[in-house]
Amino acid sequence: MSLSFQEILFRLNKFWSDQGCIIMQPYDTEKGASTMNPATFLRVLDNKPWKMACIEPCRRPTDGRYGDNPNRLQHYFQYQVIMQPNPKYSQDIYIDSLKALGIDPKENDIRFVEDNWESPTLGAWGCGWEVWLNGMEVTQFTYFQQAGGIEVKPVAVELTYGIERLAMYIQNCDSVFDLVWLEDNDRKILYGDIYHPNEVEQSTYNFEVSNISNLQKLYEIYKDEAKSCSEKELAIPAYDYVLKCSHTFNLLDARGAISKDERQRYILDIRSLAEKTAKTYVACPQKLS
Amino acid sequence: MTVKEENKLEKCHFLLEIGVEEIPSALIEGIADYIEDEIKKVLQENKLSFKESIKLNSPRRLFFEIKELDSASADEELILRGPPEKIAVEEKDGEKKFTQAALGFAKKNDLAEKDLEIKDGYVYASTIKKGKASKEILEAVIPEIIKKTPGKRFMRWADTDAKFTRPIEWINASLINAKSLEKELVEISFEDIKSSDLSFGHRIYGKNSFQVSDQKDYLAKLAEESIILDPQERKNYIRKASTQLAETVKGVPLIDADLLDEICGLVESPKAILCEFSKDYLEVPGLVLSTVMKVHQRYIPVASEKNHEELLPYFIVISNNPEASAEENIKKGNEKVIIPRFEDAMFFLKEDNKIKLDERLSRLEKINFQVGNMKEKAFRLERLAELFISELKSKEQKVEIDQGFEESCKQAAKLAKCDLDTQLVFEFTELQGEIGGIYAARQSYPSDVAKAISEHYRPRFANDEEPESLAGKVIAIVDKLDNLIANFAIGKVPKGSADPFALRRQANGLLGIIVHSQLNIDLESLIKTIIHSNPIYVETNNKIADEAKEKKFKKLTTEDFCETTINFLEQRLDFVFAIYHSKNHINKAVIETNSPLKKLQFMYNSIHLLSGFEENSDYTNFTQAAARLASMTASFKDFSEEDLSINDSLLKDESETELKKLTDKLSKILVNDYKLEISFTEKDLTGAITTINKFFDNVLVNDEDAAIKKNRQNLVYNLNKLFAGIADFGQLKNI
Repeated sequence: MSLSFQEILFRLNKFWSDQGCIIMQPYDTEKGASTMNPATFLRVLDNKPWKMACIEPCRRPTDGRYGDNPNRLQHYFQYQVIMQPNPKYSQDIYIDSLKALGIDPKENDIRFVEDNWESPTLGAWGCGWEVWLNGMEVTQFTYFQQAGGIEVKPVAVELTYGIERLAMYIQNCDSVFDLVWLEDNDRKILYGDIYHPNEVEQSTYNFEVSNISNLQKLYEIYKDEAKSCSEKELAIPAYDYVLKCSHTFNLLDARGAISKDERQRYILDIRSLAEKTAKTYVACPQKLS
Repeated sequence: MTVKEENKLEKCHFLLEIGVEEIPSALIEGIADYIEDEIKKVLQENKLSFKESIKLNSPRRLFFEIKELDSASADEELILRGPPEKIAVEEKDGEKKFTQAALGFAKKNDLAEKDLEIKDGYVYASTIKKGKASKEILEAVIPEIIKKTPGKRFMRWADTDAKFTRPIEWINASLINAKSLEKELVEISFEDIKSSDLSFGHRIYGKNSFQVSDQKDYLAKLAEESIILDPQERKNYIRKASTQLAETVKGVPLIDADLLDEICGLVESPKAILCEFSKDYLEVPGLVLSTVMKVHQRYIPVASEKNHEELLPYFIVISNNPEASAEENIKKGNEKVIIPRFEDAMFFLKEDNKIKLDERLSRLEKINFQVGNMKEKAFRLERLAELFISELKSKEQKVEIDQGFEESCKQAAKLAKCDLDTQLVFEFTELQGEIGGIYAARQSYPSDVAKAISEHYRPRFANDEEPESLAGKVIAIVDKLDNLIANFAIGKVPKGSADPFALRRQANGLLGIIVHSQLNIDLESLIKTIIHSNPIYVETNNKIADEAKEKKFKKLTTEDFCETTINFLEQRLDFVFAIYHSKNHINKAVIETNSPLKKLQFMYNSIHLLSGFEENSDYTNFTQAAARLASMTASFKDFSEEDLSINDSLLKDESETELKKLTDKLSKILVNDYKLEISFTEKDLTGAITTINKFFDNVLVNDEDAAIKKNRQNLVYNLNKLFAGIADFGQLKNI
């Protein structure tokens, strides 16, 4: 019997906990990628040693397929690891984490293929690779160089596991919805049992039901809130509203409500909010320590 | 100061291995080249000789070996000149003694009094400048070289300040005595790394670390782990192994140089594995399938032995794990990965085919172009194609223009950009055009329309193929022209090496097609007509200029546009003709005549005629005579071009009459409405020599009588004009 989905998560938690990482809990605001978790985006700006790992739900409304496509979801999970400064031989530690999942590197083709990560909305970029497991991209491996337009020093390494893909590989399963989340004697709970209705309803909402003009209004409201928080030097709540702006932009995009020119404007807009928040955070005295 | 080389030195081999976390495939060679060049430069500066420099690499290691290197630079004897004798020596008690000035000079150079001597009125001393050990030099310089290595997207890691392509894991550096084979560690420290004599094997199943005693030993130990460090050898393996695997299914691997380079930079222990996919996917055009395989997965597609256009349901993956036991796993994994990619392509294909290309025209409105939107561009291309065709038809042509051509060409022009609205092109931008062609064929548009659409982006890079069909050529030319003018409209004229929209390449491409296909057209007039009949260029430009806050943005008139475009294309002619013809002095002399764009075909022919003519014994006589006409014409002061008539009654000398006759005769041959085939021969040119020379020998152009002077000037001017239309013979007279 191969590892269940939740067992994979437990093992990763255990592995990274043993590496000295704080196992954080997911952040409660919608985000498109785990990098957007403040425990990553803001924390790396502390320029202090910081190690954390967590499972992070992510939303990408445009990727929804009403639960019909075996490989595409608008809501999915990333397993996120941040180590600042990056330890020496980070890649080997990562490979060990695969071993912890029962993947024998000697029986597979594991490769690090150049992929420089860049988030135009966060003013962040880094160098690294996508990690291939027999041709399948299972992890994004990035040495963070900049976040919110600010240099990250010491450099942090970010590992982002595409956890569903990895699980599909481990369970030799062709559809994400058939992944075994929990196996308890004869009882099997599948990924689809838990999340398929979510995919159907959210896709319907994202593509058909959401109200464009309301979303546009929300976007403006969130933007105002982000700005006023920043002005009061409250970087952390400001950042929540940056995330809200970003998610609202994604919802508008899924509705096809954004033209090419507008897209550029929105991106620059969010980017400047993110950069402002990052500056506020760095300057702000009440940083968590 | 004299320099004398001394002591015979020992030779040693310098080994340097820099272990790096996986270097981006495309950067490996450039980084290795830079480091090798810099090491060689330093050795040269330090007068260290060596026999050979070797450079090998994989994504995880950069290896350099300098063979038979001097172990130290030679000692140099330096002769130093000190102060003049009169202040350096004093006589005391009848004895000559060195003064403080002389002793100070000795001290400054670390010498004793006994080393000083007097010669020719000065104090001299000789000293030996000790050679420097290679070890010392290398230890100092290698970290600097690494630190200064330039490259795209270099990064910091951990606490480093220095940047490199990826984190450095280890440095292995030693000098090995060529005779005794004794090894000495070269101590290099770079950021958090200190060099050792250890190397590391394959990341995953290799030995943890191993000692390296020399290059042979090093390569042998790598080979034990199936690491092929020589990129050329790796490529050979990849090519050979994939050919063998493809043969087993009666296929050939489709592996172009770019793909091979990329794969070679992704593996150090390559192992080719044949994988299979379902035949059902072959319904997707082969071009799309192979792009999916190559771009997303770096797989090598397999085509049928008999027909290389026909894909087989196989691909070859080059894995970095040579263990036989892993093969089945790797094969299964890769076969699975490609399926969703193919599924996506099938899905896009199905969705895209629901909407015909014609119906997409109105949807192109959403896509912006430099001026206006893509829908406007599509209709503009149709009009430009029409203008081009009418120019083509107004002149004699080699190509045949049949009845249906004009209609298909216009239709293809209008539909050429429609695939930009498809999902498949959204996913695979590099297949724009080709996809349009495929859809056009599947949607039963005429085959010549489909073909023209598919090839209209060509040539897409230097040395790429040009379109085959005439309609494809026409659209390729007008599309590129439109791109140039539209970019100029928004101020994007390439400067220096910056040319983000590849406008120079597009200019080369369109001129290349015209010249290569021998399309006899007046490009200069065509450009003017295009710009005059499409006010959108000027309007867009002026609108931006009015809105621009910076004063820098140049507002252009219609005439400015014509001039900018024509000048830009004229400047590309050197490049374009150099491809067809290697005698650059002739190309240049022909290009640097008036209005070259009016007569591309004529120029092409002239260049060929002149390069043959160059072998003729009368060539120099002619170029000199023609140059004489040109320089005389250039020297005219206050010359009016209004009246160029010749008054026969003012012809005093027989040579003048002959010159006039010659001009009359040649003006029928060297006509300015340029024909498809050149109408003059070498003989027409050589035949002019005597007449011209006789004229200059017999008469003085600058006669005292103003009427005679003007008449003679006109004679010279008229004949010069004919020759000057062919080439600037002034440039050729002395070559």
